[in-house]
Amino acid sequence: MKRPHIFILSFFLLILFQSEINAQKNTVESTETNRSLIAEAIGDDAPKLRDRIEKRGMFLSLWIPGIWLKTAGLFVPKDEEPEARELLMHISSVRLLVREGLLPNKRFNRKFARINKRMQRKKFENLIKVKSDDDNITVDIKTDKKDRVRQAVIMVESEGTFVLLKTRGKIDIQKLINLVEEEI
Amino acid sequence: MKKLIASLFLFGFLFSNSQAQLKAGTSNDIFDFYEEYAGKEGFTTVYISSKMFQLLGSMELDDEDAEDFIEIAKDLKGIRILYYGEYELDKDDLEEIDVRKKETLVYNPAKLYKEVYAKIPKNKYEDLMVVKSDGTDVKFMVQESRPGVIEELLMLVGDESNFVFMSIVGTIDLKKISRIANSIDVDGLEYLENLDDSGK
Repeated sequence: MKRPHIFILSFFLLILFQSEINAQKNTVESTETNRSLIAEAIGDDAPKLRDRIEKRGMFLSLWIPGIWLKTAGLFVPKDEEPEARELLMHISSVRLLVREGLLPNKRFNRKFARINKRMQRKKFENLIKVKSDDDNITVDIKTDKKDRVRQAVIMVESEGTFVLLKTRGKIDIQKLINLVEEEI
Repeated sequence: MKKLIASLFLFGFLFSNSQAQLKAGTSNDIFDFYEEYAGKEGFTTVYISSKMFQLLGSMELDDEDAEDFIEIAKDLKGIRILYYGEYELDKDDLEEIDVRKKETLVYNPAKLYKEVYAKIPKNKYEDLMVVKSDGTDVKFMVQESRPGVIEELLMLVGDESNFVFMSIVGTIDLKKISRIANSIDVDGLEYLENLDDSGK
């Protein structure tokens, strides 16, 4: 076997990744069970409180290591979609954070403030920023001297739903543009 | 000691220049006005940076309208749009517009229009076109870096219900922008089509 250390590393990452997903799923499932039990106990005495508790919320934190994306890239036909394959090969990791329907909490706000401060410190370049009432969309990137995208962060907030997508890698901007041109 | 003072002076001069360039041609007062209201509730803001225009400018598409837009985007350094008023998009159907009640507006759009117009330095910006129609004022102002080359285009729209402020920075060809005015759905831009062939 060539490079056995990569195989072992990816095996452990797979276990870690799966356990993180299960942990999140269990949290959401147990939270939903608790919510309905509590709501039932309250009954009609406090209808507003009951509605608030019954309101379904979702929190998802997903981290996809680059080895998975590179593996997925191997299955993309080189002749048909060379740009997509190239893109997958050069992404190191993807982090996805989704928060929907939950009441704001201090832990989340602290985490969000940390992300913003880190981006300002690392001098991310803002591409687009759109704000309208409660809706916010920002797209920021960090490029290196060769004008490759090393990090990209997309944040979308709308109607109580917050989505953060963060990618790391060495993405050639021209190849990304070619991919977008093909899709358009 | 003299060398230290001279180097501090030079450093301060270079630093102040770089700060000025960061705002890409926009007057400080206008920039401050935009920043002041951009974060406030009820205001809709759009900011597209020069980096984004660089990326757009390197695209090649078959669509003719898109090609016009890309041709313009190559020379742009940024767009800032600030809107406040009684109209808002219906979130379920983006083509429908809901009308908010006027009583819910905290700021007076007409006063905002006057406030930003007062902040524009008249020695740097000159009027390109003024339109008054049904109580709505539309003003286009330009700043030229050298004769015939427009560095910044400002558009102000104000009436009792709505206020729009738009700033386009870059090397601007008015004829090209008027061609794509219809596809950019910003109130007031359609008046650019009335410019004559000389561009003024």
